[in-house]
Amino acid sequence: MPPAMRIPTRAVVSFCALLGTALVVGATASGLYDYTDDELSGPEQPIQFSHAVHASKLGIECLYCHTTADKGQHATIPAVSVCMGCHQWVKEGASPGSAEEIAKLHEFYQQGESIPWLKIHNLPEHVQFKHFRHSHAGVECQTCHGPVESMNRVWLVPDTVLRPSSAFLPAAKLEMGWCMNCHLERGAADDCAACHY
Amino acid sequence: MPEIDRRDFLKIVGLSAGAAATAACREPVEKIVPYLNQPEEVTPGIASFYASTCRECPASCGLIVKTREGRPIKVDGNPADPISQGRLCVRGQASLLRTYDASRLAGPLKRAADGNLVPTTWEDGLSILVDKLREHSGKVAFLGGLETGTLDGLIDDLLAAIGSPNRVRFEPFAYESLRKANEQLFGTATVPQFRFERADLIVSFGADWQETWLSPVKQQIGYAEARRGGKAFAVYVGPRLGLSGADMDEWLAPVPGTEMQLALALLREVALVKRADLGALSGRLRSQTTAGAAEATGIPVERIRRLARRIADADAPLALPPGNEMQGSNATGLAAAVQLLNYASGAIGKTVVFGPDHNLERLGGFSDLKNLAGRLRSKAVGMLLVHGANPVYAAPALGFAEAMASTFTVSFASANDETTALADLVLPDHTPYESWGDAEPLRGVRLLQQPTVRPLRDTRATGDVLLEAARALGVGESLPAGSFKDAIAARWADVGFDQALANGGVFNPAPQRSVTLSAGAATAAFENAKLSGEGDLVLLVYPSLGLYDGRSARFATLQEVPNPVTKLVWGSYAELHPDTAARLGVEFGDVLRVTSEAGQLELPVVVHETVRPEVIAIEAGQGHQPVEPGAPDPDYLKLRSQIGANAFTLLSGKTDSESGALAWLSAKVRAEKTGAKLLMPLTQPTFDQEGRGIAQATTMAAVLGLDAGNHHAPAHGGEQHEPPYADAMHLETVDFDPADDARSPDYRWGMVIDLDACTGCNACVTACVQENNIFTIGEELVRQGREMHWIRLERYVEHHGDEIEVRHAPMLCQHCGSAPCEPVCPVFATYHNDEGLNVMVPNRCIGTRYCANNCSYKVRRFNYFAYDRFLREPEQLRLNPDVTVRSKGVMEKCTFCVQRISAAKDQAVIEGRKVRDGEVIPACAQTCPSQAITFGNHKDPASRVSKQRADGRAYWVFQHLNTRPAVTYLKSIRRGETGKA
Repeated sequence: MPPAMRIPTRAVVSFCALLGTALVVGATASGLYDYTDDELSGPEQPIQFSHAVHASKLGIECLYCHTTADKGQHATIPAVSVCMGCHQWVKEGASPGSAEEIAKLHEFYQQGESIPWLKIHNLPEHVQFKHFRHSHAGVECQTCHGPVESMNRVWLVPDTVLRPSSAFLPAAKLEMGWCMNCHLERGAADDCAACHY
Repeated sequence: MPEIDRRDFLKIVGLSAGAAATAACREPVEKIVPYLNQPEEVTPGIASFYASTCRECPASCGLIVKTREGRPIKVDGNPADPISQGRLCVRGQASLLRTYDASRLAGPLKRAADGNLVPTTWEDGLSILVDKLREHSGKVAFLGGLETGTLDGLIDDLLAAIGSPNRVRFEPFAYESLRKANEQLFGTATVPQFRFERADLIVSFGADWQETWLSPVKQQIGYAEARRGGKAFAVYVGPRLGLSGADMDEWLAPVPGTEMQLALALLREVALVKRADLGALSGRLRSQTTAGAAEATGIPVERIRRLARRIADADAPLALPPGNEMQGSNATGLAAAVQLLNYASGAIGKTVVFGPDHNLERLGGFSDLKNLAGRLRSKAVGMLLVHGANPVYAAPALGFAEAMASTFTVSFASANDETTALADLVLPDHTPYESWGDAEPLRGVRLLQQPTVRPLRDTRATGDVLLEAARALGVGESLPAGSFKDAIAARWADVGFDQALANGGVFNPAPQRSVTLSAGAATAAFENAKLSGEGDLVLLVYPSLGLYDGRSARFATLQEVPNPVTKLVWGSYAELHPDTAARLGVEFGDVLRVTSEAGQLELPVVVHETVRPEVIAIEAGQGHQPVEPGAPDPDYLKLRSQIGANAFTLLSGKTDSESGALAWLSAKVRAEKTGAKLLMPLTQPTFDQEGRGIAQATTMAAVLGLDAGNHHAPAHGGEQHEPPYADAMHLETVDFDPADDARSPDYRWGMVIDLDACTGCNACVTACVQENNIFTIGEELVRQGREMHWIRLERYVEHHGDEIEVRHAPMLCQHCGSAPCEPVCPVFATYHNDEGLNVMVPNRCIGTRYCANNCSYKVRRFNYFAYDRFLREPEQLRLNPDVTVRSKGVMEKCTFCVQRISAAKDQAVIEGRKVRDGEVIPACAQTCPSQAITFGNHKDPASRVSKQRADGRAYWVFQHLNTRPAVTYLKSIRRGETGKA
């Protein structure tokens, strides 16, 4: 065989291997987290808090609870007292089972304990991510967090947009390549020291 | 079927396996736990700032404490405070360590039947305290450090209420002789303020005004102000050229013990020229001829005359009375002679200001401690309360350990020390960052101290403990009601507590008052210092820059800050002149046995020419006993407690007869070679620049004659600054590459360091350590050359005939425009960004160390171990969350505090403007009391750095290497004859 023939062969085999892996990953992910099935997406939290109810049905602004998303480095999880601000009166919601969940909240608050939420959107410690810079630049919460307002349980939505900059492979969310895609597309900083110091 | 060779097959298999493994990996689950009730003033991710007071030494600088999520992470000076003026010293910057000290006492302890200190409860501890106070009522003594606020009055009230007015306020540095001298001369036993900033001539008689003497930060700020632009000549008189003397222009080293003759000869000459009326003293001075002084001191007549002429000619001369290291048996007389010199030269009222005095009148001293030891032995005192003092360590000559043995002793120390280890009951106090307090370090300058973190251990404020004890004893009505905080608030009510708390205090310095020479001045005793003991070397114990009197010795960070003279860390060393070392047949690292009347120590030798030949100099503050009851990890504590030797054990407790002050300069010692040799933890192997022109200097004449903006002026003063082949290597410009420069229209960051202002005080080093999460690595790793400091003070000694000139140059990453480190990195972990920063991306680094090997400035540091794992609870709380904690195997270096640049840019972007000049201040520049460091944007022609870069004194270290550094140095200025101007 002429040597020229070997190059596409290697590329095809490599691509197939990658595609296969990606399919396996995708299949695994879709098996665990069915986007249409709220019961299955996202890990179980200490309290079954539904963003769909609070953000969509009740129309509470993101910033009402995540108060410093446009001011500080962290968006911050609201203090338990913020939940209690409404829920000292609202002891039962419209959804089935909501009373038990709200009772859990009261239990935490009365015990003087905070709620050990599981962190879904987690960045490594060597990344200095600043929420307020992104909200100031007009980046929607959903760009990174997915359609949280429609989720009953929050989960890390994979980015399925195929971009030329990531060789048409689905980017893993919150990984550097995924951040860089957006930074490059929007002309934001491409300097390592913007986030790593 | 297409062929796949073995290599391709392996690649594909590897890739697939890797991909599969990645898919199977899961990030560890992390929890995100919000507040239950979020405090109003706390927002996660946003820092809060509180005004408070530094309590590391009696100078009591005002602070601004930066807290994140309810824990202090950085302190800086309070700009509103006239003492710190926004700056802090090496110890102030490290003061958070006292709170985040892993080996702090966890709670109260009591002496059990088997003789050990065992943990107990506060209820039990308090009931023991109350019972014992009742039992020994009338025979209770309180030994404390200097307190100038509410606690001081509270202790007095309590002692009065129980009929035991035995109060000893002890500080090892108590300025007794200066107070006594002022009483003799001016009828006021106070310590005036020495206003450096007003002086045009500063003469220090062994006063370590930059290390520990009186108010180091304020004095250093004043000194820098007086010297700026080549003004103010400075002379150091003393047997050893320490940090304070090193920056001064001339060094006169009299034979130890003869300083008095020099002072009197100067006084006589100055009084003659200035026609000062010294009354009856004039007659006594007649015999003090300059020739006689020259013969006794070994200083040439013409140099004494020259100094006398300088003092007489100066508009605002300032003579500094002796510091501890020159405090001998004649300390009061010498202090009086120096104060008389100030009087004769017209400095009193001008640079020596009575009125807004240092608040030290009530401070006792060594004599009071001696008295107390006697009363303990004679059982006149039945119970001893100790707070903020460690007499067992600081005064070994008094035998406190044995005197305390039969007395019930209560210690209020927050961490264990020699005295606490012998106590019968330990009721640990909060640390200053956990507690309320107040201070009045200068008359009329009152500072408040507020808690910035919830107490990390089971401790209680001593003020509250005393109040509670008083109530239990039934004498509570004579003390303030409520808690200790209420007592402080009540005391501050008249000036508005809330407003004072926000500002950090009330700053109304007392008005200046004039003093006149009293008749008592004629009786001042002018003798030479008596030196006793066998041997031919004079022992010079000097106070420590980093450890003060030893109270900071437990902090590894301060142990690892190099001694400003020897550049050694982690230990005690005997400093000898090269001639003396040759005579004793020892060299660097040889262990010497030093024997005095009082004791014996074995110390390794350091040889340097900035001590007089008959002197052996030892730093105070080291050699703490390993006393850490109840501590979890003995090995770790061994590291922190058995370091060096206690120089105080060589002093026999001789005193100045008039003031009762401990005579530090009183012992002659014998030194013999032991034959042992140590590998020394040295951070700078040579003090010779070897013609490399790292720390350059120019002369006053050259400064005055220079045309500004001339970057390429030849070396001034005929000094060889660069290797002979350097000229041929110079590029046309040292500015940035225009192609690089074009990419960022807004910013090009740069730093200017004024070597004329820099005194080598190390404050920048601890500021950087605290800001950038730099780890302390211990003695053994420093020996291997693995120190981690991002900024260091290089010290160089230049010889001009017989005269010596010491220069300091802070060395940090130069952020070279054409950096040698960048092209050798195989993974682009270090590169140049568009704003002129040499960026180091720690998470990208794979640890080849090529960059460090290729760095011309030796400023890159490598993490040989996972140093963060050395941290013990609660030390991790002091880490700055804005800076990544580097892990094992990665390189790190100065970032120009990129986190602060980033924060300033955030603010600017949100406000839709550019970063303003002075908005970004790196930690080193922020704390520098001499204001030697300026940071800013070279793209802005109006910025301070741009203007300074165009100064005639500007130069670049190793310019001939064409590294195009972003750090510009300004040559130090040699004033007067030393500079051959």
